[in-house]
Amino acid sequence: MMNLADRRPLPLALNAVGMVAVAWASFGGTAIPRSGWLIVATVLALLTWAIVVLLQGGFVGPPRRLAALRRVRRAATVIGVVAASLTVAPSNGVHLAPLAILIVLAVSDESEPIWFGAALSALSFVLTPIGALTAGLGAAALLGYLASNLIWLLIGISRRQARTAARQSRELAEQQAARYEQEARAAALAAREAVARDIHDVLAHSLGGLVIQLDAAEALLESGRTADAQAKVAQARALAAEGLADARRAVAALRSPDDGVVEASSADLAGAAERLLRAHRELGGAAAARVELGGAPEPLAPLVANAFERALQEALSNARRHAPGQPVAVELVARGDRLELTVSNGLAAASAKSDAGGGHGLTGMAERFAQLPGGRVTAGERDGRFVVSATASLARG
Amino acid sequence: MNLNLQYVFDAVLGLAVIVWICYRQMTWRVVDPARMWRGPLIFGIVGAGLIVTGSKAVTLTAVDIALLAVELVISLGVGAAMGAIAHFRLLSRERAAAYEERRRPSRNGGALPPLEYESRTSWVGVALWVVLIAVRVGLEIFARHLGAEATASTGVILLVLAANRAARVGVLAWRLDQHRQSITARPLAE
Repeated sequence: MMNLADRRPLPLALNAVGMVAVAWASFGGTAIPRSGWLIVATVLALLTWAIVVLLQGGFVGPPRRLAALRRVRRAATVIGVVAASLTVAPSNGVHLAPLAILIVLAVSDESEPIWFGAALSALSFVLTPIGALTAGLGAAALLGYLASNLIWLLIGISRRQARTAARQSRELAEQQAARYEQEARAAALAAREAVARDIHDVLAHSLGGLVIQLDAAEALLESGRTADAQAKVAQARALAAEGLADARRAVAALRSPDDGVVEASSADLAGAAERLLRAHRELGGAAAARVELGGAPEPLAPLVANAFERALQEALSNARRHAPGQPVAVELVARGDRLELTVSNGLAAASAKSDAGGGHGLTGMAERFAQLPGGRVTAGERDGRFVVSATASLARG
Repeated sequence: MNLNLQYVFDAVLGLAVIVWICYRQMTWRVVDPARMWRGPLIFGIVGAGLIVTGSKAVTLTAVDIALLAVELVISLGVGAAMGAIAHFRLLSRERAAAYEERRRPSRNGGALPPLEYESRTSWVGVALWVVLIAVRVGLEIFARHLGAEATASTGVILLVLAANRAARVGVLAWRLDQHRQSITARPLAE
């Protein structure tokens, strides 16, 4: 509902001019024979006109006061329409002005139900002929007055529709703004998830490996095998350097995701797999691997290559964490236009499942593959082994 | 004799129309957005045509116009009430298909709006018809009393009928529109 401050002075002034004109035509001129009830009707029409125009929109205050003002406006409108339409003919049409204003305002007011305006218009169609008959009006003049009643109704309806359309477009704009905000929030959330995924993949792998290597070095030092310890430390250093390089790559990719790695070849992916397997063996794991990427179409989509590299890294980390000492079987094979990765390991003898992982790795893997065409990841126990299998389409476009 | 026949014809025609419409109040009718304005339009055109080109040279007096205006307003009000109290239910697929079979394709080749609902007004609708007929008979007696003749003509009856049907269809269409908007607005509000 409009505020009082929204009320523009021009319509008020125009209405005042109209009221003065009607009052002058009714009381100043000599054209109309003045009877008692016609004067009463004129006063009522002018009074209700003023009340309704002053009570347009600008309601502020508690709901009870608002409802009371609305009741006053409704009552004034009904009284005014009855008085004006009964006396349109007896007043020689002077009362058309208040009748027109009252009906147009009542029909076009969106805060009133449409039946209110429709009922008022119907009232004018019934009462205008009755007044005309008492004044002994001819058929043609009566038809003219009825036609003008129809015009007021139509003007009111068209104004109401214009207001409804304006309100709806405003609401639509608000809804759209809310939706944009929601989308922006979702995008920010997705970006954060991607960052979390990359941090987990890069840091968990290299730091976890470092902990194992350094533990081993410490044990070797305690037992006095400094040469072996030195070798372990050298491996740990290499792992740390690799992790640092990985972290730099990840950060660079996050900074500018579009011009990071432009292309990847299957040889790159095979090299990465080889590196990961070597690190796994150096960390004390046993692995039987089969990597066949010969049939893969070149070049690989960087997203695909990255997803498979990360998946292998994660699966090997998991195997070390949850089933240390169990041999791991790795298969990375291109079949037609699909790339398939299967990593399986025996279950740990005594349920050595650690809860430390929290399942972030598998979640990240699933998210990554969900973004690839035909990407799918399954992980779970099968025939006494823990099997992670990932697949994605290599077809371009 | 000729006058008598005319009255009998009028009475039979009126009665047939009323029985037909009462039957329609009690049965579920498919709401066909493409066709619902057809009835009021035909009634209105035939009624206006009969008034203008009637065999009796009708001259409308101010009393005639006044009575016609009052009657049309009451008829519109009753029609709006009929539209307002009408019950809706979703159309079952079988009934929609059965209706679709009898439906003629759109002449200008455009797609017809989908059929979704059927409606009826039942006994309240019949009661509203009784009100309308009572008003009609009462006004006619009143008009005879005033010496106005034109309101008794078949054309005026059809015009009143057209106003009634048009108001009913208008309210019905408005309610359906509101209903659709409330359905489509709901997911956005969540």
